[in-house]
Amino acid sequence: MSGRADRISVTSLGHLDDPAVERLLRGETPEGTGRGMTAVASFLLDVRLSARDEPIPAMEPRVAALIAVEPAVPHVATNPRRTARTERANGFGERMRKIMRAIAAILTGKLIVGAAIAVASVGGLQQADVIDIPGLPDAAKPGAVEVDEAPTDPDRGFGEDVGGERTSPSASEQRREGADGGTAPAAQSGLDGNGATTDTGGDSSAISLDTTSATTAEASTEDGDDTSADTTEDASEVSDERCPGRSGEVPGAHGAGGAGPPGSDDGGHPSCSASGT
Amino acid sequence: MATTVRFEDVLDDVRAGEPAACERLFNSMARRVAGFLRAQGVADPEGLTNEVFHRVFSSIDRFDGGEGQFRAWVFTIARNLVADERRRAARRPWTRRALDKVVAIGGDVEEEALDQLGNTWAREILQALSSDQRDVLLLRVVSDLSVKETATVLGKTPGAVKTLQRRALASLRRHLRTRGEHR
Repeated sequence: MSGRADRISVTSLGHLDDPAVERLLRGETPEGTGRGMTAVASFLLDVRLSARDEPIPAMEPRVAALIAVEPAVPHVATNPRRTARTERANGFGERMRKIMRAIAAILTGKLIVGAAIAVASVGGLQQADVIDIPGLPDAAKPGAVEVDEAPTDPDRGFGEDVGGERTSPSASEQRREGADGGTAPAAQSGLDGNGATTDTGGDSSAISLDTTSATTAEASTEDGDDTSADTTEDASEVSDERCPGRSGEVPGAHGAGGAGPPGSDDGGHPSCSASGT
Repeated sequence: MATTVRFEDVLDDVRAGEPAACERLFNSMARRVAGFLRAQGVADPEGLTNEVFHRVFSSIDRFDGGEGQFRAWVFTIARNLVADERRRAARRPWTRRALDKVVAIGGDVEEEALDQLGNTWAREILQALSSDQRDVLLLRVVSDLSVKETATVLGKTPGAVKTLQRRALASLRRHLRTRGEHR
């Protein structure tokens, strides 16, 4: 019986009211409690007295420096409260200045980035011909000038001559056109020294190069005939003279080599291809 | 006389940054804070006490209340620092073991620490309680806080604190009976 009551009291101490618990915490034994409660009260009293005997810890320099108000500028005011308020106000002002500087820096950065994005957008739209701002240069036009104005004959483009899409020119016209069409780039290539242009007009440069190579190869097979073909000579004329397909002497003679498309690098004669043979 | 000074006046002076008031506040409370920290078993009660008051003086402007609230606030900071140290010790158990070994070799520091709280026996009994029960007992007995202030520190209701302290006392009696002796 006592064992059950002891278990109940051990788990909850329900038989003790609040004042009894308070007395127990102060180290006093409440009336009517058992020997176990006396031991608890004695233990708690020891703990309380030990805490009271605790020496006051020495204040560390960092704490002393924190509470010691030392104004940076000597002042005539002797009121320490006022000094402390001033210190706090200065600290607050410093924080505010930092915040304002940070906000200004952020706004400036956003302005710069926004302006850069706007300039890039306007430039891109101008390039794409979506908008037309008179003051801005149009970068698309110089490229078109290079392509369109390179031929000497403004009526004919390279693509017309080389591609052979013209339907029924006469043979002489074809030759002439082919020659004319190839003259300018050939001359250009000769002057340039490399004959390599960058645009679709590069077909013409390929023509001049192929023409030169074909000329050289043919000249080597004709026992030195016209082997002194000068590189400064009009390459189109050379190709026009030496192309057997043009003269009709050997119809389809360059079929083997001319299988490729005009202006291709497979050795085909572009001028002949232009004539539709 | 120091006894005639109202706590609110001292607190006002501390807020104003008066060094004498800060020192007075430190001297009046540091002992109980150090006792609480030592009973919690922290490695350096004096250093942690200074850390508590460093935080108190750093953020005194944000405090608003009377003496009871102030004491609850101070011991809340102390309890949070204890929790931080325990977390650090759990992450680096070798540090604590090495420190215990140094203390055991040196002896003096350990002796001094145990003298403050009686002996190892008393501390072992306190450590045998659950964390909440130990906190309640130490805040009520060592820190001398009321039920309401203890509830504020622990973030519990006063009723929960009363329940916890009853269970703590019951557990204490059981441990004392098990050991069968008390000085």
